[in-house]
Amino acid sequence: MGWAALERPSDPLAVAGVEPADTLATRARLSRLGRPAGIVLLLLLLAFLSLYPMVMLLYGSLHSTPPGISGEFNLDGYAGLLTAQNLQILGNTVGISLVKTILSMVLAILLAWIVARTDTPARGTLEVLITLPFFLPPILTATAWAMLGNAQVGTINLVWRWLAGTDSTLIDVYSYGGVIWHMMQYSTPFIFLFVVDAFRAMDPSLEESSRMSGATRWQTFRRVTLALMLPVTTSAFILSFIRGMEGFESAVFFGTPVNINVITTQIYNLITQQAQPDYQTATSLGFAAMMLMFLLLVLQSRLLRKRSFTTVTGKGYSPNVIRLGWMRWLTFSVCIAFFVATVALPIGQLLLSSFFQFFGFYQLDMLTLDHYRSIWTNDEFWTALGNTMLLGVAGATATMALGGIVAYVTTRTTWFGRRLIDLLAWLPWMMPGMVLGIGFLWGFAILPHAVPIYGTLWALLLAYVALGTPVAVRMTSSAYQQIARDLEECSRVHGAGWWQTFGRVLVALAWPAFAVGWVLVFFGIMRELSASILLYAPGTQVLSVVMLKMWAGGKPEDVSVIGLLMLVLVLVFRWLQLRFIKTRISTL
Amino acid sequence: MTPISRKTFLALAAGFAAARTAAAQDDPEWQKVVDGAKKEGKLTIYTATLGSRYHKAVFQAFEKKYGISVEPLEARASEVRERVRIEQAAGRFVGDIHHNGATTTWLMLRDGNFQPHGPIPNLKNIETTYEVDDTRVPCEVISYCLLVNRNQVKPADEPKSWQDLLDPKWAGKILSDDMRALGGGAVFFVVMYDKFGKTFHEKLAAQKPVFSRDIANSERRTARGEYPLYIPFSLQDLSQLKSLPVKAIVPTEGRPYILFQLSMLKNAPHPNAARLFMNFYLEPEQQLVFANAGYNPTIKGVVEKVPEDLRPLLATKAMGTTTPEKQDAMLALAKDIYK
Amino acid sequence: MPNVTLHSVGRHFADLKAVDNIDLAVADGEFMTLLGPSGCGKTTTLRMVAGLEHNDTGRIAIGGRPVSDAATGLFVPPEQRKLGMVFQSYAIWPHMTVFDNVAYPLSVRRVARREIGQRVTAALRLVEMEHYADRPAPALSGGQQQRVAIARALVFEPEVLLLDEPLSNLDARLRTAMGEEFRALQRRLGITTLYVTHDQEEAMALSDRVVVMQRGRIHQIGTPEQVYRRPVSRDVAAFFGTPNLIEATVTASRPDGNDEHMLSVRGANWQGQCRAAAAFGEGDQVLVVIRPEDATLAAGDAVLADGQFGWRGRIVDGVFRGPRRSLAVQADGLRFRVECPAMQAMPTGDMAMVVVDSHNAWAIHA
Repeated sequence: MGWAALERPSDPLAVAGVEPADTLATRARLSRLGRPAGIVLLLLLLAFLSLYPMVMLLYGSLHSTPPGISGEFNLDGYAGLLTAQNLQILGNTVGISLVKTILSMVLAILLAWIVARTDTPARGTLEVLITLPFFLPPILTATAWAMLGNAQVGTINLVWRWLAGTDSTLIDVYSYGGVIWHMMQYSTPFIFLFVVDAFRAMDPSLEESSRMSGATRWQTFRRVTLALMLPVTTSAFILSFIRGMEGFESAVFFGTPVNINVITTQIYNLITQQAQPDYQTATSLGFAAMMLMFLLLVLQSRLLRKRSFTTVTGKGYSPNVIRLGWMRWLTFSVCIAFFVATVALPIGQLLLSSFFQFFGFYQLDMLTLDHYRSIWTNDEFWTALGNTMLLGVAGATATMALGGIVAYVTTRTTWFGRRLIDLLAWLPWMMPGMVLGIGFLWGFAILPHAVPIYGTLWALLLAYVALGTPVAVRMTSSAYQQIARDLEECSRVHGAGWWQTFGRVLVALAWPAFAVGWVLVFFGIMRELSASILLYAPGTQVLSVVMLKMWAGGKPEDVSVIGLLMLVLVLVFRWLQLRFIKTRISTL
Repeated sequence: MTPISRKTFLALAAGFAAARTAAAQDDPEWQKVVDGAKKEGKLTIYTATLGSRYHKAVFQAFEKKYGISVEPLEARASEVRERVRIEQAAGRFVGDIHHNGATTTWLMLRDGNFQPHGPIPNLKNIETTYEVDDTRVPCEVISYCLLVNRNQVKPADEPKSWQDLLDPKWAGKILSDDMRALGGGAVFFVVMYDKFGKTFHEKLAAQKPVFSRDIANSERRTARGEYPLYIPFSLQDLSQLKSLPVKAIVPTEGRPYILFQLSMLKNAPHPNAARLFMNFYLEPEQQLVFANAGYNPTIKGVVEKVPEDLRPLLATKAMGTTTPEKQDAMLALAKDIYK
Repeated sequence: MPNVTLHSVGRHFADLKAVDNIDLAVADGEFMTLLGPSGCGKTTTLRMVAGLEHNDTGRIAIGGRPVSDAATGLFVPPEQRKLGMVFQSYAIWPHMTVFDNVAYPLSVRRVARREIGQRVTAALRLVEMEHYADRPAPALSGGQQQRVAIARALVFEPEVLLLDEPLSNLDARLRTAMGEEFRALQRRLGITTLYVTHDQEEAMALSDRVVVMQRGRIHQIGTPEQVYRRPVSRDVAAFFGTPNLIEATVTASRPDGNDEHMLSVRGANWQGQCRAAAAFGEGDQVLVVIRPEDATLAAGDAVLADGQFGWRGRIVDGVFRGPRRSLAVQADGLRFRVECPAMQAMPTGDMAMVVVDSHNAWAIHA
């Protein structure tokens, strides 16, 4: 078998081979120009999406009146922050978020390990079940938990008293514990989604060599497996911690009634609970919170600097699956317990309620399908659903595309300006959503009228992309960091351009992360309210706004029907996704 | 249909007929407004009532009657205000009508967000309780009362006066809308303060009321028996709680209220439609829609047409409302008293 | 004429000159190996040819076409350089089958599907992997992955083939076998090849010419025999095995009529003759390089023949290595390493004469 057999005179590539040198040089020059142009374009886009609303907010925080009203520049907003009350609020915010993040992290890692690395039965199903709570509208789980965990008449306490024959109260959701627990229902699956694929895609020799060096299974887990997952886990930790500090629903439902205040409820008070909204103090508080989070990010990047975390290499491997023996039923129960506590209980409560005229009144004469009928015949709901689907699909796709590119630039290149790009992509995540929504409103409204953004679906789409990009960047950059550079370079040398390599190697390899990121962003969009309500226009209303209307209009039962519909949607999405991942990766 | 006394009915019918004649048919000036409105063909309403089916019904009735499409933009009070403000600052004049509580409306009037609406025939029917000027049209009223759980509170034990809340037997048994935040709670705080003074609140605070901001849930919590009493209960929610073991009580002193107003936004693109809508909103048919739902109407002669189960509650004294000037000071005081 | 030329090429990382101003010309069809310890700049050089790194100075041309010129800013991206490359890790894409991996260079260039099928099959047949086409890539053994990587590098019939330590992840036996197979394949296809390794034996077994690099510089370019037997410096000499380096002073120097020079040298208690690449002056200090396998052992009282010189000493150590035996001889403050046939050895403690032929002694600058 010789070289001649490979040769074909008609080969178009052979013809391309005699291409004159100057054509090549021109093309090379173009690609040389392409990079700075690309960076500038990316910077401009990110600046518009994140810096621009931030600048508006900065103006708001430094000016005695919001944009458009004459006033003066002063530092009153910031000067007013240093009070004992605010210090206590800060302590609450950080404390609650830290505790919930740590607890969620431990739980999420345990669950991810069980699903990815043990022979626990029905792991595929468990994976879907564990991630479900993330996709439930918080307003619904809060309602459900208010019914379940109320100190006086909560279902759990009633059952407890009946079982134990005491008068004592088992749980009270109106407490620090309640706030933290409600937050954990979101952060645990969130972190789980981040880490589970990292567990799955790890070269087993890295762990085996630790075992061979005399480390026990636990030592290996702690010092090798976890250490290698540091970029993923710290990313997830920071994201979750920051989200916790920005969390609103849990605190307002279970904290405010018992005087547990956090930064977001304080901002909410400043904007909506005073006769004269105090945008200056609210935005200043937003920026103060942002500085705090910025410090966290700096800490993270220091922690990870100059360390290699490549675990997906060009060499073949299949992840270690540990045989647990009878213990697998124990791990199985842990997953089921989590599912029961975070999904089955609240959703069971909601499902039950959705067939009764009122939440919590389970009498036969109140059985009804009215809530389903009312949603089915609600035109507004269907318009909003259509808009939300359109925005969700377009937004999640655009966000993942942008996030994938930003992550590439920040993790795989040494380009000048990549740190700036990274920072810009981060900004929206660090500003509490309530404040950021105002930034978008101000920013989009004062654009020249010829720019058709304000009052159109574009305004919502752009805001959603800006809000989703940080997750997309974290998700994909964690995945990239695990992919050996060789795999990418090999593609370039063998004739694929940058875009081809990006699509066929990086994205294809990081596909599970892209898929999960897409779903996270999609449902983030479905839930987003703060910016939506300020940016929607007649005709472009979205699901979250309609849900708020129903809620405020005294129809929480109808909202729970929508929540259940969303849950079905999640199940379909996740099922399709995991099926697809399986067919592509099962060979691993 | 609840029977209405013949006399009342006749009086009402006469009133309506007179108003109609004056408004729609005889006045050539008004006819111009109607024609202009139809030509404009569209109306954008910024409203702070979220998800109210009664408002939606009125919008639809207007569309049906005049063939003018209504586009409501619903958001919470402060969000509506901020959108209007920034849009006007940016030179985007999108909204025609602003519909909001009196406090926010007052602030926006001060900021110059409105323009005078011009003569509106039905304004002459407005109840004397409510002030009328050239920019603000009183359109409906949210009334606050008490909600009790019928299973837990025997008729004899029902509070008759607001001051009965201070009875030690209610200690720890009162669920309350948060008085430290805008909304029903804050109105209740101001009106009680105006009527009974600071001591009332100090004593009420000693009863350890439980605060919540989730109104719909609070009403259900009361119905489920978690708390026997809920204050302040907005009367228009009553129709949604039918068949639950709850009862609304308006104490003898009367009911605190929030007045909602319609105003024409500055440089409204459809001024005639806006004016026509304001007049339409004050028609007895529309006001009755609100009254039947538990809102107090703002024009005379409507409460009388309300079904008997609701009428006594509406036909009570308007006790007072909050004023924008002192709102923030009052919120601070509430925070101080209810720690 | 797919040759590769590098002119004054350099690559700098801050203060460190990873590659310092090197010139290199790989002829058409030649198998050239960059050899050196890790960190010597050989991989960086290869990556600059591949276009995976930018050269900070100089210019690179492939097949006469300039692909990179630091002075004009010309830089042809890697995908347009028409190369094939085998990575140290093989870089087999784990999400593709063997077939898809090999087909990649063709499919990204939009070759017709039918033709891809034919050419991939041919390439897989070349590396005897045609039965594995449908396997998922990660399910292969190291040697099989190596073959796939080679098939992938060849399938597009690249002008130049680059290999970055392709054998270093294989076990010793497989390494030798793959190396031989690969060399045969390269000869048959006549493809210009640039190969990077730190393994001297591999380099000598495979290459037409070897480039010895150290600290970013090229120390010597030559056939495997030249660099082994005629090193230009102590560093080059020391890189191949563990030669005996003996200090001496030149007493006479004359050309031998064969482009080399014959030196008379004198050391402590010994004198002899050796060869050198250049003329030396009388009194110049040199190092005489004597490979352990070029020295022979004779009985302690043996007489040296003409053209030989030697040292008398005691055998202090002996290591049996199967086919041969490594001995250490202590003589006049020198410790000699001698390789001799295993069966021919003398016991430790005996006196012996280390005998060296003048032709096998090579002098370099001290």
